Amino acid sequence: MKKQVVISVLSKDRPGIIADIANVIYELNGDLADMSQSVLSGFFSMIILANFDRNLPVDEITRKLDSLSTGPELTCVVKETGEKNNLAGNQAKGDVYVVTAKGKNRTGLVAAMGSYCGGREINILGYETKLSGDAYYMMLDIQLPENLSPDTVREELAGTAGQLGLSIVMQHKSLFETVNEVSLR
Amino acid sequence: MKSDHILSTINMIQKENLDVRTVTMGINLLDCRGRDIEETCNLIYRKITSKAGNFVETCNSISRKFGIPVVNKRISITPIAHLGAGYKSDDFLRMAKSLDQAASDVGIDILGGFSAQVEKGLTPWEREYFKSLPRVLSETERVCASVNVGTSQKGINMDALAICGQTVKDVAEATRAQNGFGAAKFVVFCNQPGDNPFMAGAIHGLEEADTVLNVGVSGPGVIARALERLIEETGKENLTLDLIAEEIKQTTFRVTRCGELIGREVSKAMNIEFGIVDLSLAPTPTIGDSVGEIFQILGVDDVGAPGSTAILAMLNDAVKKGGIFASKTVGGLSGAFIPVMEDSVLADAVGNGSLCLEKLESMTCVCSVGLDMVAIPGSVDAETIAAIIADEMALGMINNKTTAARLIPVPGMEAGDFVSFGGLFGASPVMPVRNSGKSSRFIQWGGRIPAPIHSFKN
Repeated sequence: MKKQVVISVLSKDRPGIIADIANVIYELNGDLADMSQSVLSGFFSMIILANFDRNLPVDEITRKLDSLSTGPELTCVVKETGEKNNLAGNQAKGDVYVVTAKGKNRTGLVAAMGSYCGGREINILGYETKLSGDAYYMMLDIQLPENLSPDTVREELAGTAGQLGLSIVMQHKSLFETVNEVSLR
Repeated sequence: MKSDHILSTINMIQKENLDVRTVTMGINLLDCRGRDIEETCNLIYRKITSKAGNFVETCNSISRKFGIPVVNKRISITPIAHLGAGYKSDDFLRMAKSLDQAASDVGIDILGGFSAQVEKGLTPWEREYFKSLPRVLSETERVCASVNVGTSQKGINMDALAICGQTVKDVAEATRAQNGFGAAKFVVFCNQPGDNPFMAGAIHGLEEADTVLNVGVSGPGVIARALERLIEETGKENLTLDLIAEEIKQTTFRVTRCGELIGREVSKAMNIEFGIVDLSLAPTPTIGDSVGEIFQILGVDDVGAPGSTAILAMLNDAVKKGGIFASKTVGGLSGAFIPVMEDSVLADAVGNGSLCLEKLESMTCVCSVGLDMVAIPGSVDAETIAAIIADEMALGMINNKTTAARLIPVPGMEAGDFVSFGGLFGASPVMPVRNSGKSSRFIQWGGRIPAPIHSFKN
């Protein structure tokens, strides 16, 4: 019986973290299906999707990964994925839009955006922020539920943005792909 | 996707006015011939309203979905003279009125294709078609006419061309109250493409499918802003023309991709074949949407100054190179337009004497169309107008490219007077025509200018 797990890794950044984690998965005869990694302020963060041919206990994978830890610098969490897609059906099918927001840095911006999206059942697929001087930039990939029109979201986001002093633009993701990538989908 | 790509795309939309300039639905009307003119008119009306009934709403909905304005929604039809075989001029007028009504009822502002293709010879009904034009263009609001009088393959039909010269005069006179505006809806072509989405010269060629969607990309404003940004970020001292051409190419790629995206989506939503993307940079009288401004950014103080033709050649070429790779199928006119009245910087250059008819003509050798939207004195005679058109057609015929002439002899106005049509048709000073009245004997020969030697390739 096959098993799929998601592994989250957080560590102080240093050379060799990816090699260490990937070798553990390899030694357990696992297949590293997908991964996403970034470094923020000297901290390394990675999320991995791995498949194993046998029904390997999560504890065993955790133990093996813990053996890499040399103190508090590296923390791993392993979870079974269970059902592959646990999003509501209409949410998984909706169009993906890119929202960019720019404004003066202040507390609560991400919380406000997150609350709006959560309240509207909008799934955030990706979220990047950047602080440049006093200006704060946010870029979100959001997937709209099928029953929610982009016009409504644009209008409501404009309202939220006004209260937060942000200027917000929302465009269909395929526009960015079409304009910036060589291949046409 | 990189965040700087996202931000630069947002800039193109917000600050550089990226849009899709036109989505044009081509409709074949050859199956609309009825037993009599009344039935033909009914069939024309029914076909257009049934094919394009939800066209405008679909474009608007796709535009909202992607956040990209689709500025114009238009319709082109089979050149009407093909449908009007055997008809009289009154019948052509009745068809024009049905087209006008259908265009109005589906919510579009301009319909192109009240046209004839007479590059080799004229039929009796095509002569009737010509007779109908002064009334058609003065009594309808949305209908545009065009005539193809020459091709590189067949030469130039000088009999038809002489009629065109007279028709331009007659149409202008018939719309004297609007300063000859009717002539702005009449274009004479050499090598007219059957898939051009831009007005007033759009037709739905006989070679096309029953219905097809063609798209015209965003205007010159995006290119102008991209060049300004490049110069600011890189510094003039670090730039050369090849680097500038590269920026134009890359910007055109992005602009064309937008057109391709919208075209595909509208085509899918309406279940209509997607034809082509036309890469043409079509200016509008709006400030910041001018091809002339690109000339100034690239280093001539006024359009028409020495260097203008070289700049236009480079611009036209870079636009094609960037756009061709971005779209599955490129077609139409695809280059840079220099319509004087529709481009405020070109109009200013006419006003200050920098841009004359002869220089404009030389520039049309390297741009995508020709002498477009040029207001000339109302006193210029029909044969001189025909001869100006003949020169322009010869450029197209010999150089295997599309050329066109859209001249407006403004009744009662002379060189230097100012004429304004408002809206997209713009305004400009009336351009002087030198050597007027000296070409009658040439036009009076009639017949045909034979096909050029390089057309014999079989």
